[in-house]
Amino acid sequence: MALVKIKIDGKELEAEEGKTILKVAQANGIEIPTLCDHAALLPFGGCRLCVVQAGPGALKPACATPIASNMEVVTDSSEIREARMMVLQLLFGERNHYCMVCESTGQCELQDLGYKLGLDHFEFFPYEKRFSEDVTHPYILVDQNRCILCRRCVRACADVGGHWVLGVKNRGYESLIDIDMDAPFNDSSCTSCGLCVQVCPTGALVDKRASYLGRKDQADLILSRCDRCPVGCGLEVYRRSNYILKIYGDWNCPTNGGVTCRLSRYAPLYDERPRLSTPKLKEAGVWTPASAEKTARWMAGKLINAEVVVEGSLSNEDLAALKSLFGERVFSLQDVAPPLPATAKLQDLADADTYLVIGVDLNREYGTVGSLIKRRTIPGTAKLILVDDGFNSLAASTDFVFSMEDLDSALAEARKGRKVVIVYSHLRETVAEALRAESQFLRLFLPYESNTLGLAQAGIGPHIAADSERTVFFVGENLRDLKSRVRGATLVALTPFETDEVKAADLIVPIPAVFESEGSFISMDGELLRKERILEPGEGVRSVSAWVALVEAQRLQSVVAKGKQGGSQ
Amino acid sequence: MLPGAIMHVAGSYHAAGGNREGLIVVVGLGSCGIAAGGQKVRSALIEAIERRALPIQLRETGCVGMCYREVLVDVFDPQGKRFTYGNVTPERVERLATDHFESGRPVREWLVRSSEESLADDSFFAKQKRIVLRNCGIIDPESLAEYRARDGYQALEKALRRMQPEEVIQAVRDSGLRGRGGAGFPTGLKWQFARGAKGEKKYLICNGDEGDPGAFMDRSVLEGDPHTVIEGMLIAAYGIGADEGYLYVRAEYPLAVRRLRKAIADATMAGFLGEHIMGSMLTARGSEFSFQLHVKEGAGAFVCGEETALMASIEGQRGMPRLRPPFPATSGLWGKPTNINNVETYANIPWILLHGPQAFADLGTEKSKGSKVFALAGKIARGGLVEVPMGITIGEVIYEIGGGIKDGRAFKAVQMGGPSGGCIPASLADTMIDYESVTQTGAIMGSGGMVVLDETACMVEIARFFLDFTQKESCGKCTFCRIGTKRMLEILTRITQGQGQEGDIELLYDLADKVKTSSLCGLGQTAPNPVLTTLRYFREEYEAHIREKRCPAHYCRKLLVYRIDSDLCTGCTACARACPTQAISGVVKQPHLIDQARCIQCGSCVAKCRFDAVKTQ
Repeated sequence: MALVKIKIDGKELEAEEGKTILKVAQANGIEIPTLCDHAALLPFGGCRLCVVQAGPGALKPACATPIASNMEVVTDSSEIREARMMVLQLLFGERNHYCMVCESTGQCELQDLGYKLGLDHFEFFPYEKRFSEDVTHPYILVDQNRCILCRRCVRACADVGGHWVLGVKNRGYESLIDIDMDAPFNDSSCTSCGLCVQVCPTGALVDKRASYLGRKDQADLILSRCDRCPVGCGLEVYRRSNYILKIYGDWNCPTNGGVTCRLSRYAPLYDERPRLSTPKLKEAGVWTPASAEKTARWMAGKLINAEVVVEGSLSNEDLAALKSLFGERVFSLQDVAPPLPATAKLQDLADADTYLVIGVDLNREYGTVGSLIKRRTIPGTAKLILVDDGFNSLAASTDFVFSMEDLDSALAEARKGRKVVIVYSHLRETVAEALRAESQFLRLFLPYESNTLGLAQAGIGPHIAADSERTVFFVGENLRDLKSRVRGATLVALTPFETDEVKAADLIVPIPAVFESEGSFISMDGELLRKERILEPGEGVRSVSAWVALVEAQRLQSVVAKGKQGGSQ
Repeated sequence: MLPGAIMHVAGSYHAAGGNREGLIVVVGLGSCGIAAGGQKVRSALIEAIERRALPIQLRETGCVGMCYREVLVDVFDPQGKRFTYGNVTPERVERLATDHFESGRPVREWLVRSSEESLADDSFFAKQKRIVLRNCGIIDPESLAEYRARDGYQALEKALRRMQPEEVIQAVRDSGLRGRGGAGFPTGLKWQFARGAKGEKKYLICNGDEGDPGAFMDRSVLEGDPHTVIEGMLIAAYGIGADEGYLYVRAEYPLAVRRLRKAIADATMAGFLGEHIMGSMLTARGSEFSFQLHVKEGAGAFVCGEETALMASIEGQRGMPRLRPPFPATSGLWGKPTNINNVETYANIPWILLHGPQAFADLGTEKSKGSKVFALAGKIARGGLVEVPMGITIGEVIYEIGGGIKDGRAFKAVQMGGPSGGCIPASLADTMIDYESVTQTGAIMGSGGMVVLDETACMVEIARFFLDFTQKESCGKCTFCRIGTKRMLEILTRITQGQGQEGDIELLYDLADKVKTSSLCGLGQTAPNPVLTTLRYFREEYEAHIREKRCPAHYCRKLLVYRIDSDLCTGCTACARACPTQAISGVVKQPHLIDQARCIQCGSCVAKCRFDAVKTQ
């Protein structure tokens, strides 16, 4: 696009033709108030708060008016201020915008504008009509009475999240945000990605858990990466003292561009499994709390012929520490190698015209990948072909659903595409074989766990159930069925949670939960990403590396002690 | 209509029917005719004809425009003479059959029109110029043969055989045709934009989502002559290079939808639609032209008449206007270049191509060419569908075509352009009907609704009525349109209820200005027009409501004072028994009295009084 000269408030500027007045003004530090506009969303032009004088004639919305050569824009005048004030008056009088009884007070864009533009009375008597609230969703509260109908949520849900759950029903001032054609939120097709809450400028969409726990500006903002899956979404984590207020997707993160899923945003905050706060040793069938020294000594004493089995979510640093202790005897709980080598990266999803998704429900796992695909397939820009047996919620978003038996038909359909990406995780041998032949298709492999690629790089392979008597250490947060993996062995579990499952072990050792640990992992795109520590773990909790260091120290001590004994004899 | 043309019609009937002997009887079965009992008349005719075993062909047609005379029955004799009977009822059929069908003596007193000028008054048609409606009320809309007998699809053939697409567009530009949906954008220019837009796939849309209260122009055309619209679309598609199109019609027009579907099926069978149009009849170039046409029924949202909302609706999304630019010509339906015109615009096209752009440009004023269809409704003596040349005055339409105001009352104003338009007062009856002149009054040409108001109309109430409509139909996207119109409506409502305050007029002006200038689409931008025009021409009525708590037109009930005229009151007690608040007292056979403190102005007493004794002031 060609550069053109324009003037905003007398300031001469050069900008790309076709950009909106608002974008150009923002890029040059000129502030124009907005409400329905959002940097991550397409221009909408609904609220009319951003009106400016651009050439002769009526005021124009800056968010929706493209610049033209020699355009002269005035962003502030008495006429403009009056028009903006009228917008605020109409909005404040439309529904319940009594700020003192709203969760969002202090972090509400409507309220901020009221202060900024000097709204000091209600011009119109506010309507008292009561609209419904929807409290059925486990994480999100919808209060239509606080809604200003800017439709940011609707646009985010559709255009960014690709979910198309939210819409608008009714006309005129009776318009309401609508969920799946009038379904209760909890019964809807909502995937709980939380984008709607993230973009809502008022208190109409609220994170239930964050309610009344504090405002964003009272919290520390930490940019981190999500390690709940190998996508590695960028997150904005808001922390207040030692709790997490809310988690937002990071709009600036190149990986996800603000999109996240339930697993990043809500699931960890709602994890109610009992925490393990101190090491416990099973002595004569009774669980007894043990000191760190005793625990480390106990573990150090079991190292001979021992092996360690880890979950794929462990950080590279923890893996390195374990390798230093166990050498080659570090194994993975899950598979590590892809059934077919990957040839595509996430960015290949952006311009493909056909997606062949095999056996993965992208609304439930790898949610960001689901969003990247659905936001192109649901509007019809690209085609989604699903191959799966059994229930897969993606089937609701496409006409092309095939069973594994019928893979050939799916492939025939896919061959019509010009740029086809196969999206898969675990695959049956026969399916993998059939896909291998389609070398013209790009392959986007979804690793099984967040650091599966890190494990592979460290040369850690899957664990094979052992027959012989030995000590097995398990490290992870979702440990289960420990006994089935080894026979008659001594078991140690390093885990954040004291579940019944881990009590199959002889020693349980507390390690940090998701937000209490830091470290690096390798994402599905092969990037080395870093997760920050957000919360301080409890006193008895130590990181895997710290436990390894303690065990190492104990072992050295015992070696030294043995050496001394040996020397004195 | 010239007798020659009628001869031609009758000729075409006789040609299509193969009957050169007997009479042809045609019943008007548009929605208007059916509503007035046309089907019953048709049954009675069948029965009467069969009983007499007369060699008569019974046919049907669409709306001829004389809605004030429905049910209409046309009788053509083999010489081509035409006799049109109005207000036909099943009871009248018997005499028609005996006198006219059997004995050849037309029933003079029931004739509303005839090719024999001595027999009936033709003033309803004298000043009309029927281009769009040239076939309406004449041919059987369900017969492709009759349409073809009236030069149907010859314009298409001419375009395909002898004209390059650019020449078609040039012809439309030369004709000076402007969009008949209301905004008046030059049609040829619009086509040129669409033709010039980059893209292989282009769409063509016909906007038949006629939503203005009191407007029925498009419905009558679609019901009365569906092939004209299809042919106009085909020529446009050929001009801009589109191969697929949508006819977006209100689902509230079931007859139009049914006739369109039949017309599309017939045209497809005959090779005028589908792949390789007119392939066997034309040279190789013509056969390269293909066009698929779909009917899409609207779901009853007024805003879907706005082109971008209409396209969203076709795409299956909520009908909400989108930002422009990009304009539909570059990025419309499914992001593809799209041309959209309304029904009447397309219906003009075949005529323009056949008669040449100059013939069209010869009609009308300097900037507004051709003719315009209006739906004449309200307090008019002869309400109906009329087509007049541009440049005719409003007064001519109302007095000469419409026959003046009903019941001899005084003409007060005419509401043009539906809810987006405005009220033009009687003092401006000399205003010429063209885009610029009408816009100057504060109203808009609109799609052709003309609601005539007499002295009993309260202008505040009229503004309130139309605003009530638009505020309900706002899609809710823009703040001003969504809430601003509602706030305006509240002010108007309280004025009509006697709760108006000083400052209300200024607040109305303030809101109207902001709603008009700051709304995204035409709905919001024009919604305040009825308020602004009534304020402009009838401000004193607003002031009377606000300051004197008086409704000059005696319409607003809350502002009326009910009194019983003691000279007329017979003391029948009917009013006292009807009064819900027992405000009326009196002895039997003595004049009654209304206690003003108790009266709630409900009007029950007026309705009950058989002696016209309850007066309002």
